[in-house]
Amino acid sequence: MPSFRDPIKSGLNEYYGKLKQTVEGLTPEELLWQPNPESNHILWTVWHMARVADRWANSTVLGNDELWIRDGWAEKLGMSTEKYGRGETPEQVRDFPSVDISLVLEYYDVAHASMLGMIDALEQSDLDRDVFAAYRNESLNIGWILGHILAEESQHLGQVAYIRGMQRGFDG
Amino acid sequence: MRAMPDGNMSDLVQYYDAVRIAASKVIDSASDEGMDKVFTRGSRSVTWSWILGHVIVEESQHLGQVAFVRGLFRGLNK
Repeated sequence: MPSFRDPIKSGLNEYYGKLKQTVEGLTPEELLWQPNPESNHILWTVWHMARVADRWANSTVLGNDELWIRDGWAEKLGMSTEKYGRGETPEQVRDFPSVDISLVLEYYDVAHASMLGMIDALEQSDLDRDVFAAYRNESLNIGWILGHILAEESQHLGQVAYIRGMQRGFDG
Repeated sequence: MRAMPDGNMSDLVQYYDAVRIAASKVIDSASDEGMDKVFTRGSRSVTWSWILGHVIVEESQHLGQVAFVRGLFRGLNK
């Protein structure tokens, strides 16, 4: 088995497990709370993290349709098929629909599983290969993408934990 | 945390630069066969494979927090 798979999968499962713990027990009001008008809220951030996982794995690396579109998650959550979160304005974040977090996490579960499947489908030689990320209009190296997914998703997890801490206190 | 001395940020970054270089050397010297090697600190044992994933995840969480706190002060993308 190629040696890159274990550390990447370990990191993916670590941030995902911690995210689940971090959103546990939060009320709809806490999920939508913004410390200031330009700040993202937890619900938006978790939804965006799920979109990030789906897009990188299914669309950019594997070249398939996103589960967001293919399996009807956009429709289930009442959002447009294009909605992704990148570059959204504070108004768009504020007006984000108050969807049930458990439905967002159901979508994230399948997106996360597809990411683990993507890692298993990659061979060592794939890490040097470039793929075209249409929404960013650039070619990106798969090896770079794997590191980037861990870094991007974990940054958002840190933000979710921080916003929870602002409301619940240290370890609350 | 509040009692942390007011250090010089550039000294701190210099320290971080040195640590980063040292960490890169450790990674460069690692081999595929060593992924399951176990490291123990205190009562906790983890594999090299876990450490590699964890360092990215832990450091990136803190980066997300740093960016968030900056945003609270300065506003979006400032």
